[in-house]
Amino acid sequence: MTPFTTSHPRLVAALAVLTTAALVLAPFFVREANLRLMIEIFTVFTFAQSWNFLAGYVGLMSFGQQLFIGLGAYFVFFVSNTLGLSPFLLLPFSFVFCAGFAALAAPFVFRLRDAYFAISIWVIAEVVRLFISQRDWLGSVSGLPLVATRGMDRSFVATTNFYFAAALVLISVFGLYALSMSRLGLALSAVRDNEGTAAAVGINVWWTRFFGFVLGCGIAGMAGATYYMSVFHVEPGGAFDPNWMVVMMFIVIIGGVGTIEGPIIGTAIYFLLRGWLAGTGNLYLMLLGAAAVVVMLVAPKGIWGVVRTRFGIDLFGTRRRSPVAQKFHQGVR
Amino acid sequence: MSLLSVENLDVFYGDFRAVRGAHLELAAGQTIAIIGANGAGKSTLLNAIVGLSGRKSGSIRFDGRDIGREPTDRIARAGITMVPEGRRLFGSLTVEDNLLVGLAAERPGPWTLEAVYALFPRLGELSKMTAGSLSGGQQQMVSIGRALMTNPRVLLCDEISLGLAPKIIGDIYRCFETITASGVSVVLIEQNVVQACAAADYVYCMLEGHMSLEGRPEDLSQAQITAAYFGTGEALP
Repeated sequence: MTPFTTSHPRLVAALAVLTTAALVLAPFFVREANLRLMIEIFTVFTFAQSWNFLAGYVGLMSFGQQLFIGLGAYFVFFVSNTLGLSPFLLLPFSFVFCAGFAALAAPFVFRLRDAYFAISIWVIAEVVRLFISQRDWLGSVSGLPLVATRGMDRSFVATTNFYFAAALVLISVFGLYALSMSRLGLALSAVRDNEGTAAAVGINVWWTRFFGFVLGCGIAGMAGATYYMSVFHVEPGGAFDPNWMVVMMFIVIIGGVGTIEGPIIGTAIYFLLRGWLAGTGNLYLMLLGAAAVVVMLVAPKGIWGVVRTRFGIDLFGTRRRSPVAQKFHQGVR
Repeated sequence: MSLLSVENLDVFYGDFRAVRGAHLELAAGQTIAIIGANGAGKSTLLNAIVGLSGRKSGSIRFDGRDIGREPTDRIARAGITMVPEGRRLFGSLTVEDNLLVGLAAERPGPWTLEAVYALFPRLGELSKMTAGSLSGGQQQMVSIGRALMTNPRVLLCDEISLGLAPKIIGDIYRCFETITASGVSVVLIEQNVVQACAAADYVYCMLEGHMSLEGRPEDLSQAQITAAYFGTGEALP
């Protein structure tokens, strides 16, 4: 029996350096239009990864992650327009704003469990959407433009946004890896697997979960702000659209929940399908849905789950199900 | 003075009183056992001590301090932890990570990763395996090891022999000599009367939520235990 190598910290560190270098250099070689597509891909990936973090690492299934996408965007647009501040300066604070919002909501939504918890955040998202839609000072249904970017050089805006989106990708891949390797990550996994036992060995379940929730929501918020800054306009119907949730779930489920690699694969598949099926109109959503159903039936652990079981590759693999455990779990069910 | 003392404890599941006026005393360094049939309230009593049960009344004192209203994690950090029924491992984590979770109690002491691997050498070989893929006996060792990593003063063990082969049970119980020698006081829950009487200094028998018999194992007759266990005839010592 060969014990499993559960992680390759050096390989991951090397990968982090290479990825960072590639991302830093990208704007010098990539055309502006492609840069914008990459911003979209990176931010959508970060949305998905934030939901994957909550569902797969913290054990909190939310159906309302679009709440933080919208909140992050509105925070930057509104404050920038009102105070005349640079949106790029405000962007990191969209994390603080959304994390703070999540922290205030947590004492209430944590009283609910499972499906009730999932729905409760969706309800908050709808309430916030309706609130904004009825306030003229927030642009009501037609939304807000980003005034500060009007005089700016478009390619400067695209490049700066790109770097923020790239930073989000690095955080949601290598930051998540570092977190999962830490003692806090261990506590998160323990709480997700069995909260009673986690408490019985001294873990404060509530605060551990609170930390995970706040972090996951803050990252989604910052990604939301970055996404909407690159399109220069935000309106409530789009920013708080439950369709964001569908996209996130599609990406995570198809790639593999509770893994770092899964959403990377899922995001690639989502954008490829979107490109191929762009001309098919409404059929596009049905095909997307069919793809998700097929993956769920054939590979319940997602595509990365299959790759890992079949080839024994586990790049970031730590503190998650190894191939043997996976077979074991499938065997008993 | 006893290290852990439970007096007149009632524990409720909704309207059902699962534990009725239960009591127990555990002195420092002692090993006690609670025996009784399925549904007698043994596990409920143990869960109540660490704050994992529902509504309860009565007194639970640890080291002279009332812990009846403390949350579970605070009780663990104060030095009471448990080996839960059915092991309850963190199934997605490796053996080593399961053990390391015990560090959350932030109680330094003699029980380190090395000490646990010395006690259960097999776990050292399996350290990178996922806990969910181990055999029942190996899982039980991980569960005990994880509890020891918190360096508890009191270790509550809920049916550690459940579902294990007799040889494995023997192996695991032999390890308790080392555990108690390190200064840990132990509460064992057992359905296996012979095992319990062999391992414990003092035995309580539970029946329908209360203590139907107690005493040192050598002072209790087979007939007394049978009567107290099944609730047949006079069960008083």
